[in-house]
Amino acid sequence: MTYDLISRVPVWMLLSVYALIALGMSAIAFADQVVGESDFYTRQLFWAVVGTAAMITMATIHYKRWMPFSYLLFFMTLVLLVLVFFLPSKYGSQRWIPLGPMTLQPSEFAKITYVMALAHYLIYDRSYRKLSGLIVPFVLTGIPVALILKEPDLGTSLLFIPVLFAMLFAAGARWYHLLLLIVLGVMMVPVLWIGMNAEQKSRVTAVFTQKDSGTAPSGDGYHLHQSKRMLAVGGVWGVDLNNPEHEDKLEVHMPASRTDFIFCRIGQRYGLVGCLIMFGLYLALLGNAYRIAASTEEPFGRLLVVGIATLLATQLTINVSMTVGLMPITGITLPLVSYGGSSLLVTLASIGLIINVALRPTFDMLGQTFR
Amino acid sequence: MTLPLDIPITPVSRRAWFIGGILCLAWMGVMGRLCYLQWWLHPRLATAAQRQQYTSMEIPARAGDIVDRRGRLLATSMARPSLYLVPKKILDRKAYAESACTALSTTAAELEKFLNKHATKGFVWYERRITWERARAFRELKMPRETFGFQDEFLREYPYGDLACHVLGLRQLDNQPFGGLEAAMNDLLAGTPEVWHVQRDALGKVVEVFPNDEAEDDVNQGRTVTSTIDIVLQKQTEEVLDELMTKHAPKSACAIVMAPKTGDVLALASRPSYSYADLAHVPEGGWHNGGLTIQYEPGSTFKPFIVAMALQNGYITKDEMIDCERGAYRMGRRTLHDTHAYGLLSLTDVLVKSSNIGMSKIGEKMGNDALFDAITRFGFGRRTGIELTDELPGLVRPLEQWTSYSTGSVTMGQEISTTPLQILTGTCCLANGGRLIKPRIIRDDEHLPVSSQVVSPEIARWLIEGPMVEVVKRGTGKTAQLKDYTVFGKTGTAQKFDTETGQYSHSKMICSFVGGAPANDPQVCVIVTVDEPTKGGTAYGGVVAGPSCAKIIDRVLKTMKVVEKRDLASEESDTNHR
Repeated sequence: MTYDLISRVPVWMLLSVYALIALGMSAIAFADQVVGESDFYTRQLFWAVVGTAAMITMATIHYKRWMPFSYLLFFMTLVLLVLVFFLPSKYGSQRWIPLGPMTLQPSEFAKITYVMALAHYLIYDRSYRKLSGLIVPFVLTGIPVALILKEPDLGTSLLFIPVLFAMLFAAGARWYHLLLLIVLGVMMVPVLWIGMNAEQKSRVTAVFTQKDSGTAPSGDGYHLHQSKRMLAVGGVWGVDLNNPEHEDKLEVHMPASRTDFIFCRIGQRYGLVGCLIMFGLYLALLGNAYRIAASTEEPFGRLLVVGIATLLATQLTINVSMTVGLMPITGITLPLVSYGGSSLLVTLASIGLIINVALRPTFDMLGQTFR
Repeated sequence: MTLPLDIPITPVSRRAWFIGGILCLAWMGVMGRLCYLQWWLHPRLATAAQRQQYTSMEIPARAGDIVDRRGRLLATSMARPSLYLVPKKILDRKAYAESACTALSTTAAELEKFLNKHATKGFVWYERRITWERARAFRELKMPRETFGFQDEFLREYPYGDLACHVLGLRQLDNQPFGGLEAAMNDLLAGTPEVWHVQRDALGKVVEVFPNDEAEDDVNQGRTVTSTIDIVLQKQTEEVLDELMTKHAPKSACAIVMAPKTGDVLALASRPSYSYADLAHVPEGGWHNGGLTIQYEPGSTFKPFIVAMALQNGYITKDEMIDCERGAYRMGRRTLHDTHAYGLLSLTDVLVKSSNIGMSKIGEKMGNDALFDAITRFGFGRRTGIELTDELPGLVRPLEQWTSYSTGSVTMGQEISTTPLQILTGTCCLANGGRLIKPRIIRDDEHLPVSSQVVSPEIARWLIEGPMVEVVKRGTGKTAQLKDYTVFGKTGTAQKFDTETGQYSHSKMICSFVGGAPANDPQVCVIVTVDEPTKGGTAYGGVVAGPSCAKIIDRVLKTMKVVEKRDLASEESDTNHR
């Protein structure tokens, strides 16, 4: 029994998780060195330890024990999401709840509780085979999306949509229902565009209008330009901080280069090779996750894994796409790599859930209590 | 309980793989993009990064001081704030102009016009090198911080006002020199502006400044230049020149004082002149440093040089008698005239009475080749090499172009053109015992002046103490006599060549007097050149320039505390001559 559990631990996934954290910390340390501040990577190390504890916890308790609480947890995070509107804003948005020396970002937790709640709902046939059954998932999605949009945090709110579709699809929703919804969604784009503020609009237009070389624009589009340039500076092999030859290239000014734009630092420090290695690690992580999903018969667990894996994959795709100038810039972290306590903690905890599912692939293990 | 590990692929699990596949496709796109950025674009963007990211900021160097030969400060630089505006950050230009003009010397309407004109600019100088009080007054207006700024710049100051302005020249805004020592010595004076590398973000805000640590302070700052000018002598010279200008109202006048033994220029003045306070209204010719730029036919002041070389090369002897043909002498196609009819004249008297016929006869004895050789040996026809940039070389025509006419003309100082400085340099050569010394305006105690022995000391001394002293004692230069010093000298009155008629003008003259004292040990040589005097007596060198020259010699020597040593022997010889 114990042997079975241990043999099912997705070792390659765990290895790639810690390799990604290590890569992230080296990039944070690199940013520290370039900017001249020093303690960010140690803080990240602290959160990695805390996150590992959370991951082990999440992997140990049978995931099905969470199922009855999933709606409640989701409701609590929604309360937290409302709470932020009563707190002072920071950097022009209300996303954080201050907790002593650190801050809590409820939208990070909302992602997980949302996946759990949705998975819980979708374990039943009637929930997804009929078009009418799809109303509830869309309401479930709409509330956090609306709240997070209001913060405003366009990026995080947009994460929920692909996750919703992936989970509906994995649950077994009909092709043509989903296609219909996608068509409807595309038709909503103009409404979204009208609702965006000037800053958000400029970010979208920058993707289409900005040239990849030339001088940096002042104001709008500057961040995108700098991000592309940092990647280009890295080249194929990256630049070495201790190499005086590269000294001048390092001083590329880049706001938020430890958090949302950490990928730029990776590209700058380790070059194209480093970026591809990072993708390889993610491929190992997410490929394992989808393999686990494919091999899990129990629908709640399977949907949980699909939801979490899609969440991470979407974050990765959006983050990297915005960095290389394929998508508008939105505030989305690179899971496991970006600096940020809440993000790392939640990501590790959710990976704990995936491991949990991997350990228990069948219907009737320890599940009697809930039957 | 065992679990089947090889789970058959159900439609549901196939769906999970499908989602993974879609994501993989998206990543392919991202990776393609990455390859494009990091592989293909790398060479171009990597260099563009540096160009755009770093701009250099020039920290102006402080221009060096100019001091006179006794270390008195003639030109210096003082830090002053310069005000610049950022018009594009000024939203309400009208309101801005109204509040800002209270601290500026302008009206609101003018300032608004200025702001409108430069509305889109991110940087425009408004007023440079203002006083510290005005800068403080402007700061106290508390205008938005991003709309203006001050940058310290250096203001050139000339503590002695307009004294020696032609020697000093001036230094314009942006450290650009103009004329005089400022231009000539700019390499030393200007200093090197320090370049700081500045990192800016997209908004042009300076993120970080990297001062150039390698630059040493003394390399950056301009050096001090010591001039040979003595500002006290300069003041006395300029005072005399101003008196002359009032008395004779000439077109221009200049005076140079030189120490014959070293070639040091002690004073150099020119009129008309300019004033540092009002550079917008400079009289015509006011920028010209006359002593170096007037090119004129020297006339009789030229004669001693011909005689010196004739003696040196043995064409004549000191006691030779020359027949001056009773005032009219036909030479080739033309007839030469003297102002008075002379018979036989000694060589001394030819110079004392400035006989043109006597000089032409010496010229005939020498021939054109020797004459040409003589005047080039004294340095005519080329720049003396003084350290000022605006010096002109005069003109000595090539020997091939000389005719029989030239033989007579050159000996009396026609057909060639010289600058006052050249005549003075030649005279100093006679005064110091035959050494032609390159005149200097930069003091240099470590190196001997560049010199060449042109005539023997005996001949030089004889010319000074003999004929040139006699000129002042009883010849054309009587007006230059001084009570305390034995002055030697030579007058010159040259008709100006009228380009309109193609003939020598009878009304337009250049009068000059070159001389020095004391005759037995010359300490100073002075030339005064007056261009087209219009009043105050006949336009003769002796009348117009002589008294001023003597005044300068007198004052300069007294300031230098020179006492003439007169021994009995020289008193006796004076009597003999009479």
